[in-house]
Amino acid sequence: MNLRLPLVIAFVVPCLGWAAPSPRQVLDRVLEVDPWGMSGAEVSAKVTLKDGSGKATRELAFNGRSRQYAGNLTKSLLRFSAPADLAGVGFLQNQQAEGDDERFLFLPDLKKSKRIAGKLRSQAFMGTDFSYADLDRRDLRQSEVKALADEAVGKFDCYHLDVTPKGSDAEYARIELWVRKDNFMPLRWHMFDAGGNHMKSLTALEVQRVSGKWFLTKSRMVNLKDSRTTELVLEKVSPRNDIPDEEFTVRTLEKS
Amino acid sequence: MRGSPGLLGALLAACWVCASPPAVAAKAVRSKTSQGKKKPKKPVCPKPEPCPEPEPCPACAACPECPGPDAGSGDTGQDVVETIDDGSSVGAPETPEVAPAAKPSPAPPAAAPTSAPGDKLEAQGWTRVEGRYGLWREPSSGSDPLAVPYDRVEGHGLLSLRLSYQRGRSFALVASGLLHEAVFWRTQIAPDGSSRVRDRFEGSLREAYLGVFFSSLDVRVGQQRVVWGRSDLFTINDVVNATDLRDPFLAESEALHVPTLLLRADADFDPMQLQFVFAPIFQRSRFDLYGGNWAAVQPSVAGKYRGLVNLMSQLVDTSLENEAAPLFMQTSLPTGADGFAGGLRYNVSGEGIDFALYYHYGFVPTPELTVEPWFSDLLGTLDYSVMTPYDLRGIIDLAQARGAPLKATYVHRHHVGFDLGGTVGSFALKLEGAFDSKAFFYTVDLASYGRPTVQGVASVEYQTGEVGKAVILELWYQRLIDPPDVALIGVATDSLAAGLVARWTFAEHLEVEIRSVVGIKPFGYLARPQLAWKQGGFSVRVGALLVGGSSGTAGDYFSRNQAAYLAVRQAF
Repeated sequence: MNLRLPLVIAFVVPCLGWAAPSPRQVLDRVLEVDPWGMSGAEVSAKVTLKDGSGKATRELAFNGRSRQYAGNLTKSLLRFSAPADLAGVGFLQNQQAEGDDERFLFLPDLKKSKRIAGKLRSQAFMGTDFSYADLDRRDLRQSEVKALADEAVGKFDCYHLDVTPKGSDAEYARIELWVRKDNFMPLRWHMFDAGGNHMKSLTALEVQRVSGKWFLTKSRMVNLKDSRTTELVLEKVSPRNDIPDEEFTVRTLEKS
Repeated sequence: MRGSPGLLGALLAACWVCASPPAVAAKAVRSKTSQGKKKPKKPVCPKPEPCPEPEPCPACAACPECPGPDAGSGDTGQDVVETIDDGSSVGAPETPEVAPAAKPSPAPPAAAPTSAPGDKLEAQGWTRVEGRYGLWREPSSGSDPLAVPYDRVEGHGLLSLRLSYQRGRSFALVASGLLHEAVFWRTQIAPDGSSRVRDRFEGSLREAYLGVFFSSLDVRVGQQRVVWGRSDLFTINDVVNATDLRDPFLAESEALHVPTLLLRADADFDPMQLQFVFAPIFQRSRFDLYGGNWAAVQPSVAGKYRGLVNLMSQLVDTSLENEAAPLFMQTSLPTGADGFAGGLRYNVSGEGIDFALYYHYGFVPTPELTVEPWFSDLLGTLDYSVMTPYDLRGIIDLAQARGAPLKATYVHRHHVGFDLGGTVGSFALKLEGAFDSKAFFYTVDLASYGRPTVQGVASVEYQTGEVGKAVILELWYQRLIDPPDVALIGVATDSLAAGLVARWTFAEHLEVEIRSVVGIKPFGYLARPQLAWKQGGFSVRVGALLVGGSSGTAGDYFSRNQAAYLAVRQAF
């Protein structure tokens, strides 16, 4: 009896299905990736805001430290060094599994920190085109995801995902993600509002592997509503898992 | 099936490796390579060693012996920089500097992770030039011996510099200083009717402290500023540092408090924090007694005192008025063991709520004034229209014989307070309360009354997440316990006021701000509308200060301070 064909069907066909990760698995891997060094790294970054004509209107610079805790939750502390009117301003964010993230802003001329309302996820982060929601990625964490047809971004094969945030405070109604197949780096994001309007696009311009971890060292966020652009460049990034928890407290934030 | 694996066997084996649970996959790799009679490369663990598979395998990442997404390039894990040009940057302008997609190339060695950051030296500062023009209309012309000097025009030049040195996360040295040159053009109603120009130069060391930081304990020693409380306008718990009241509404916010020599210790018992402060030496608040527009002696003060200080000021060169101001009154400053102050702050945070308790044993910010009755009666008999400064000799001789007729004494008090803060939606809500065992209030006869007070502040802040955009509304209440049966300047038994700070930025450079305090009971107001153009650390600000109120209120008392101003500031 020729058992070859049934054996092929029994073993190979399911294997072909098992070989590709599910959309949820891909998204989970995306969440494990730390594109901006906000989940266990020290970074020095520069942010350039440009108007619709491409002219730079403002430049920010900051140093940041972060750590991951309790799964995919993160704590991060940023300290701005430029421009001069923001020098010394500190920002602390501790993500929470339930409810609003904890955020504090330290103003050096007043020498005190203020709690920032958690409902500000949709607001611009320090005047940039990145919102707090873009940085905390909770819209991805609390979402449903399905796969679209794979698509290349440049020379890189990518999974193409359709993400529907489910959180009550989701900033976007839908997000399309292009995720590089080999290292699960998100190379392109398209954000849509409830009316299906394309609100913003985030494009990876440069990725870098440092000590075995991949980072989005150059990215551009385009606000399609007013044609403004924000470019985020990680000038230095050092992955670290040993930053102690007490570095992410208001006490540390107020040390200027 | 029998025999060596053919195409079917290879296909089955490959699927088995990719789809199997991790342990099985690892074993399968070893069994596969052993059949090829070549010593297999042992899968290396843990991360970030390279994946044993030559090609990226999606399920490889699930294998504990694989490094996961880091294995993407399939090489030895060397740092790599890759540019991406997908040619579809939606909506973005042309950026010719983006390089076309290139093969991964070895990146320059990334900064090796260090266990602690190294030394860091930072210098920051700002400089500011400002001109003010007084809008008050003087009621009389000509010489009036009882008129209080008024500075019609002011010019200010300031330079602030702050240096901080940090060694890792455990040690810091901070020093800051402020240079302030001010020029005043006074429409002095002097006997000869001439106007007078005076200037004031101050160089002050602001902060100078050393900080040592441990995992749960911070200690700072030196001259420093410690902020208590959460409110922005009515800072009823911000009592650790003395205040500079010489220019309370147009000066830089960081210049409003006087850094004090302190020992400060912060201990962290997550979620609670304890802070201890101790000031061994008395630091008094700064205010002008006479001469400046915000001086204590204003047109509402009893004429006999205005005449006296006017005469005395004619004995002193205009440029030395600031140095001579303390001599106008004999003060009793706490010294030695009597001059200490100290306090505790307890803070706890959780579930989005912050709560703090405060206790401070220190000094009432303003002094107790005592005027001997014989002196007050004597001054009431003088005719300042015919007196000259030389006629003061008799009064001075009498004072020496009978003892100092004027005293300003700083007195200890207990301060207990609390604050509570949290957020609801886009709003930050704050509540503060404070009890002071003694605060001094004054009459126009320069008599002071010390009484306990209770204060409360409720605050709502609309937040946008941006520093340049906020709206803050505060309500303040004060109850004077056991009030005296006299009219006090600016205070009622129950006082109520509202404050507003509204700041908004347009087109990234234009900032509109209004700060105002409106006394509801008693009625008075102070408002500072301002328009600023900002570019990075450079700003040009134009605005006005509007002050007024019903008779006897603080707004009415200081109503001469209405002014327009233009300021240019550069931060660096």
